[in-house]
Amino acid sequence: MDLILIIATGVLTGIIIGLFPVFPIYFGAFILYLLSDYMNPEYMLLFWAITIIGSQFFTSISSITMGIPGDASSLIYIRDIKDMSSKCKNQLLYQTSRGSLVGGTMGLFAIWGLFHFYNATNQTFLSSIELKMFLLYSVILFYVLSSERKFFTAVIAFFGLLIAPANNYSLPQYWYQFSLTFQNVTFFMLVLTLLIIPDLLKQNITTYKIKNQFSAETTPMPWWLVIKSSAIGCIVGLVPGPSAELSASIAYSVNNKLPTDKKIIAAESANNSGAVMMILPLMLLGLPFTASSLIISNIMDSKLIDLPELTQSSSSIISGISVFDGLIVFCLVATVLYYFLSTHFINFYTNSVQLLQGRFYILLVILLIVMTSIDIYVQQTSILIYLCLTFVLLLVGLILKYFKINPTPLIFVYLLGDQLIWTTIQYASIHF
Amino acid sequence: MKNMFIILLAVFTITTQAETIINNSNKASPATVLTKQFEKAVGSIDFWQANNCEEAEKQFRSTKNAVMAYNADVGIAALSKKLNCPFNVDNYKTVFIGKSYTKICSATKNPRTLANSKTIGMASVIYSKLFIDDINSNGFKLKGVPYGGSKDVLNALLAGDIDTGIIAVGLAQQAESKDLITCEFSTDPAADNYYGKTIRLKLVGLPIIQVFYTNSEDTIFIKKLHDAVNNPNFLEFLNKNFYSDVKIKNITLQDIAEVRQHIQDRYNFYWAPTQSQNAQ
Repeated sequence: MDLILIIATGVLTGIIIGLFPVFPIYFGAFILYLLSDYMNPEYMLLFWAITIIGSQFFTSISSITMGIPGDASSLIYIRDIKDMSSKCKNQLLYQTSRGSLVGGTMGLFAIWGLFHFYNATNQTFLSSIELKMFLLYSVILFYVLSSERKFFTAVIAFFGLLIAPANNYSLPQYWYQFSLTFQNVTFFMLVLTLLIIPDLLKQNITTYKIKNQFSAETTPMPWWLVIKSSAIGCIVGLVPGPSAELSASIAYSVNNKLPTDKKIIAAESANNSGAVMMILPLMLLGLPFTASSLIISNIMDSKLIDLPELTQSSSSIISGISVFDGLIVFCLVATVLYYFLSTHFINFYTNSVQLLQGRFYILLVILLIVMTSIDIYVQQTSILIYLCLTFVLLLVGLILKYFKINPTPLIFVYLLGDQLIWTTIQYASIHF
Repeated sequence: MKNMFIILLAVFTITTQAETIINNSNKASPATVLTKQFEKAVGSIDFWQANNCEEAEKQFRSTKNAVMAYNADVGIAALSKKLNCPFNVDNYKTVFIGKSYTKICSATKNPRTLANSKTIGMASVIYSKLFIDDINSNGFKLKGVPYGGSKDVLNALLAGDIDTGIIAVGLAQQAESKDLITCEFSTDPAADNYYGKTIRLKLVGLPIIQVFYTNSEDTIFIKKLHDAVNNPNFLEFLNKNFYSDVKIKNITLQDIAEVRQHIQDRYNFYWAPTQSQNAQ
């Protein structure tokens, strides 16, 4: 009974995290802070892994149907969605769900194989700082070079980099002080002020209007592209930091010459396998590579649980196998369940919105207020500071909108920025 | 409009709750794990993660029945960034002072001693150019590499990015038991392999000092905090994570003065001169 409850709440949490950008990917782990006293560690790991998989599965649904990125990994293609026909979106819903299924499954098999390979041969496979540098700078360079207004894109990307650091004492004094001003900026705040509100104020409400009923439409799959992109996610996902975002960006840019829908499928396949890969270093070596795994690692530390020991111990759920193998089994089940829900759930989701279509503007405003309130609560920010930052960033958003400059690079560089700065400082310290 | 008012009121109520532990350490820091353990021992109390120690100080002053989880290393690094977060505990009730140390380690697959290492990684709160210079004054040619916390240092060691790293003892011990790393030195003066026996440094030891103090006048709440630091699970955690010089009873002004002296000395020796050089 407990198991069913954990899987059900994990799946539901994963869906909510995926659909709403206000909930970061690490929100599932965050919930465990509240529940850790009432759950056994194996159930906690299961809940955490299921929410990670679900959050990536469902991010494409809100992105494709509403044009609101479910999380940072779908930012890369969010502007591509705008001009798509309903038919194309329906096909894309089907194709991205299948891509996510393949990506998630490949990721799970990859970590299962690598886990047992490592234990059998005692190998260490961890990413080097050089690879990390290369990947991070490639993504940003891609953004700048692929933009029509390269100079302005570079300027706003630079601004994103300036405000990105999170309490980094290695920075020069002036930069550190400047970054403190923006320390309470959140991903949701950036999306709200740079993308959503400027669009609403410019009467671009159509972006959020759903004129047609969506349903995943059976379409031939570009299987080779899906497999290739999932493999990219499996590799890039082992890079510490924003693994899903990096995987999606690299898969998208590698397939830059393909039609838009193919690039989106590539990004969605890669971010699913990329997100799953964060499980491996945590389970194998107890090393958290992402914010989400960091939180679960801290929870386990506070309960004095050694994660690698736990994963190799016998499962209390399925007798005869280890905790790790049990986790993979349940994650595979959850992946299939998510696939079913993401291809069937769309009708329910869009029908609900369809019923409220006439009042969608008001509904969206109420939704945004609720999301903002949750964001303030989750981030433990004071309302005044939050509103001040929102106002400043909104001003930036409106200026960018007026001059028709795409704000996505700013958001993206902001998200990658902290990691990028750390990596650059470390690389420079080692090599120069 | 009515909905909006209710939501804002709810958020306002939530964000101004009393009885809160305020953490000034990085989320990835072992000090945060200790604070979370203390939170659990206290029971029904909120946890507030500050972005930096200045924000922690403001929150502490504006919250009734607040407990500050003060990490001295954060205080030292913050001084260098001109943040206003002094260690002013005189007016408050201190319930806990604990020290834990670090180890100087290399990856088992790439074993190095300090003498044949080129790079040494450490958390940015203890990293300063003058600290590296002090180590190098013993004949080493090490380049210092800053990281967010001990876990990042361990990751970098295992990835082969750096030759040696300074890692919190609890984490180092776990990695050592799995034969992932070998540790040449400890920064604990009581340890057999204390680095001060081989290396001459301006300051003895490299402790991570954590202090819990409260602004509460409520005797029931203060008793709850005292009970928490005496909680068997909390004490077991301290033991397993090699906390030493733990003070939970009769904390004197002398104990507080020692912590303050540590902050001042470390800042004066390893941070302040860099500031004046930069100013010049």
